[in-house]
Amino acid sequence: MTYDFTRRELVKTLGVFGAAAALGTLSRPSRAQGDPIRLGLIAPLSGSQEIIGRYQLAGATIAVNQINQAGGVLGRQIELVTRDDKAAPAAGVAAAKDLAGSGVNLMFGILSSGVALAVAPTLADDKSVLVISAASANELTHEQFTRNLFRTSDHAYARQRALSKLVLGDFPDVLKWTAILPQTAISASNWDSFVDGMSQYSAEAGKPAEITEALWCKFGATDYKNEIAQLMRSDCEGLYCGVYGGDAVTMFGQAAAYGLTKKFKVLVDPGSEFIIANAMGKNTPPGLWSGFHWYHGAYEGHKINDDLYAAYVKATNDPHPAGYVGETHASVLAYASAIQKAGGTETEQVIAALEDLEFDSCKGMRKIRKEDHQAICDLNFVQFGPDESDQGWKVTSHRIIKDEGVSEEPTPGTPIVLKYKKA
Amino acid sequence: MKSLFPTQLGRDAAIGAVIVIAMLAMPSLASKGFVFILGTLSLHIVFGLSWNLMFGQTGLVSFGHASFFAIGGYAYALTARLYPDLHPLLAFSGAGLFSAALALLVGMVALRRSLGVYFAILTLALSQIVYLVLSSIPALGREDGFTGIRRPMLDLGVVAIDLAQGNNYYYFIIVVSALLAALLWWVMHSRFGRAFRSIQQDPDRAAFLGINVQANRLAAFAIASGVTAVAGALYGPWLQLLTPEVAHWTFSARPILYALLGGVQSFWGPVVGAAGFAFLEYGTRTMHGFSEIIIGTILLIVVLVFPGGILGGLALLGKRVGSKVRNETRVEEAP
Repeated sequence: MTYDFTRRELVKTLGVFGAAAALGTLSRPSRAQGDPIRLGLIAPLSGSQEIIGRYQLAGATIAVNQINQAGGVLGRQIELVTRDDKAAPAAGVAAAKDLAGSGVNLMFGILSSGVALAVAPTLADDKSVLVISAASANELTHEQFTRNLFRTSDHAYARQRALSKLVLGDFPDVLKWTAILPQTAISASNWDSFVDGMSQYSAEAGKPAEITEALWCKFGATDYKNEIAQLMRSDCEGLYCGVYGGDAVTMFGQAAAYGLTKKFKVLVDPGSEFIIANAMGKNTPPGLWSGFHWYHGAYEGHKINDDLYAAYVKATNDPHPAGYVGETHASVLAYASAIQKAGGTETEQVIAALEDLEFDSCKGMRKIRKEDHQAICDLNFVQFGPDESDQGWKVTSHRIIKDEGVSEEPTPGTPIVLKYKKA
Repeated sequence: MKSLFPTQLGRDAAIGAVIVIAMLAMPSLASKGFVFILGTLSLHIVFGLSWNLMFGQTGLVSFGHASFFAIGGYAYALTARLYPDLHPLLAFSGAGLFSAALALLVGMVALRRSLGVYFAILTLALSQIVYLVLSSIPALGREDGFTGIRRPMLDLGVVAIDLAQGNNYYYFIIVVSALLAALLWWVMHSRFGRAFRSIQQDPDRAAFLGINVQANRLAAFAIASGVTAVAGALYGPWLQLLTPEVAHWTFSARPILYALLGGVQSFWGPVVGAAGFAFLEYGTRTMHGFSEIIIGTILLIVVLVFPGGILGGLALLGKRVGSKVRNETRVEEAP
């Protein structure tokens, strides 16, 4: 058998590869000082998590526009370059490498801790900097610490301990707690942190909390009736609902029929923000406390907050910006401050400038710790309840917890030690 | 016109060599993002080729091939963590052999009891079981994945190569993927491959000719699973993380798409399909929200216009053009 693959065709084929190689060469970056400063946003801009990625994009876009209108940084405009991570680790790494290969060495965003943990080990080789704007896994500033990664948003340990501090302050006699959690590492980490805070603060108040074994369910489950029946038999007074996002909507929807939301005196949620209230409307669990990355209503009168809120509402007509808007906004402000301080955008310059950086943001001053690159900032919480308005719910209260001893001591490279964790 | 390559081995070896040389040259020519896509593509090519060994050659339809990709990946990651001094080549090949042995066990039950759509559903169920198990084991990182998978040091006796440095791991996976693809080419064109093809065309007639249909199907399933597992094992250190998503049914759909897009009848079909898919994804990466629509539409058009895939369509076009040229030549030569 013979094949019509001639010398001429072989040369043509090699020519095609040559052209592809030339295109590759053309794609290599070459940037001059007068060019815009390019910041790369990595966020889920398609797929099931796009519902959150759009908030991250909005916050970043508003920050870039505000800085450019004010004259830019070092006399240069900022250009936002976006890449979609689809909340999938492989796509996240591809996005980060694509940005690095295009000459964008300063990146931020990332919603999913899985994506952040996948991207983190690639940063040093690619000489890039990543500022995390949402992913809250403790490991990012502990076991998986890398000096090229910073986090300007709060992390799981601080937020959940702050939540325990809040409920113990408001409900000092609610000391028997249980939880319903999806089988994810971040949920386990959240619950451990909550128990850690609850155990510490209740012991300090002289009334030790009693923690009952948590109920674990499948992430993405559609039927919670068994777990709800178990919770209805519980003698606990406080419920930590670690089921988040769409799962929380499903769970609370089924729980309403059993009267679960009325059985517990206190309901808390680690960070679903407006998702549960928006989906449940008039069936919003009364008194539900939810963790927020940023709640605009808590900072009225603070110019950065007010300007961001006004710009967001003007752009979207949505009066309820999720906290992710504030977090990507803050990451851009952190970069702007660091670049100004460093006098340039080279990776090493910016890393040095971000370490120990103090900058103002939509939720006040934040300080990035030099040791583990974690920002120390306010922790925001909002309480929801049903009402008779068209939207069916209202914010009944909100709270700012200052991070004064809430976060752990920086120990990059080693795991968090949960001193008060109960088995 | 004189042919440069008179045999199929010569032609395929030349094509393979050109592809491998081009991919090895890319780190010094293209951007890091493009190189990452190519490294991932090489593993997906092996994934697609091994699936097509079952479907295109043996007639076995698996809807759960990703389960072996995941088993190989997690097996390597766990082995490397528990036995950090174990030679990486042993760990990679161990992951492949473990998955092949597992496929033998599964296949002995599944292939005896069911074929066609039943086998497809059984493999789909297997992949979902693997997905659920991986999502539930704390030591494997549950839903958040197995983190911190390091790129190993490769000690070859005369020289030790740190695969964590620069593009070393990229070169390593390109070379290993090429070797795996060569192994699959050899299987397809050997006595085994001829037996597989005869079973795909008519299992009853193959049995009548003395071919052990059951044993050959089992062999195809085990080889494909083992090779896929090695690709999965290589994927862990490439991404430095593994999540249960690699066992999900949506990931199992990938090799099916590659084979259908490129063409199931040719060895190169899944290669063309995987490359086409990767370049489409890369080309539409900035079209947020529209990327999937564009890729889906193009796939739909290709499948509708070229039922035999891209290579099948090109072969058809080639034949038509060839016969037209011959007809015109005959007309000109006529007195």
